[in-house]
Amino acid sequence: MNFPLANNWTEDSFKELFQQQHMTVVLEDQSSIQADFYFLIDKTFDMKQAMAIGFILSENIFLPYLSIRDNLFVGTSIKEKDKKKRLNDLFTYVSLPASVLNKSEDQLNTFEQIKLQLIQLLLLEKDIIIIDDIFQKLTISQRQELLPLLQKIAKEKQKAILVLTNDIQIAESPYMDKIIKTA
Amino acid sequence: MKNIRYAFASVSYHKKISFSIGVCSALFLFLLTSILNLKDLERSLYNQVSTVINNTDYHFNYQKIMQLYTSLYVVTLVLWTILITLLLFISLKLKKQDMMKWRIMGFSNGFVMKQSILESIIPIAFGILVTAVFLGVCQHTYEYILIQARPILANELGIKRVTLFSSKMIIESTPSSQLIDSTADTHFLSLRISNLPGAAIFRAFSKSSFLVLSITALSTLISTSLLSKQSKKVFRM
Repeated sequence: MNFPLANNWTEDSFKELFQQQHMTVVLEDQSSIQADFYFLIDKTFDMKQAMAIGFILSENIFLPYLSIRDNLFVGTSIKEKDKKKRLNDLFTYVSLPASVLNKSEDQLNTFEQIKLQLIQLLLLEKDIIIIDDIFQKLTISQRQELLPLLQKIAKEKQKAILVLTNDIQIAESPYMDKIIKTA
Repeated sequence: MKNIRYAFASVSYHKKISFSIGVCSALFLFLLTSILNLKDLERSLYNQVSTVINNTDYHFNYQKIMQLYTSLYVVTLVLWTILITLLLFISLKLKKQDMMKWRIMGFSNGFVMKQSILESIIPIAFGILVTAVFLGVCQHTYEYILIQARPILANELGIKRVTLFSSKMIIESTPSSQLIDSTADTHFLSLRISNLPGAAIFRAFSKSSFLVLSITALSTLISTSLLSKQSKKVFRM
């Protein structure tokens, strides 16, 4: 299997991929994306600052035995009395209706799941967000909504965002600050 | 406290496997406590008998049955270890995705292991509670079971009955006194309920609970760490 990120990983790769307030995109073959995404997950397993890196997948990553609201606050130290306000602010920030909290995990669509994961990472105050190839499961209008949102998060919340994709249109969109082509 | 809440939520979500672990732990805890208490009964009887009679066969029997009880205890512990490892294997297989989700959320391996241990200890704690309630509330029933089980177990373990006094007795009520062999159905000593004080039950129960919990925690730790090492290479959602 082609494994470009893993095969060419050096000490400087980290700095090259993750820059604060930057959206970096890695354009690679479909076959490499998943391998590289999981390589990055494995890589962070060994890192002391693992808590500072968050991942966004198109699959459901919420724990099935907790409610969506509880899932969002897992690992945070936000006080109970502040939770409602923080949640309302972030739901408004990502343009997601608060009614999704009443849905069960099975009822969430991919776009809602992605936005909820974004809220979770913002609540956890992750510095780096790594995004799997989630765009192929989204409609054009959803992509058009998500890309500026990601850029807004990178700039305003001072995050480093890395997107893995095989879609040249996503890679060459004006929202990306840097393109790394491995394909 | 949050960890415990998450562990409780997981245990209640994975009801079937948690219930199985709880039931098995209660059963094994009962068996282990019973074996230790049977040893207590045997010891108590031996102490009573040895103050009045010095019988070599009985002394030999006592040593033999004590050894057999110890072996039975160890065998039961080994069986528990095998069973709990099997149950944990099934449980971790079901929870593998959840564990990976914890890791993806950025939690350390140590946290996942702690969570995994908590999740296997909670159903065992329920098992311990159920057994404790049974032993506390139905203490007389428990003692009755032990007293009934003792001779059956001794027979099964191949312990021969020893006659402490002469097997011949004289029945004086008949006009001419007769010698009758009554070995088979004569019991000269019987156990009393007071021979098994609450403290002895508590001691045996605590020891067994500690062992059951330790074995489970250790087994969970090993299986979770093996799984996490494996998953580092093979983990794909």
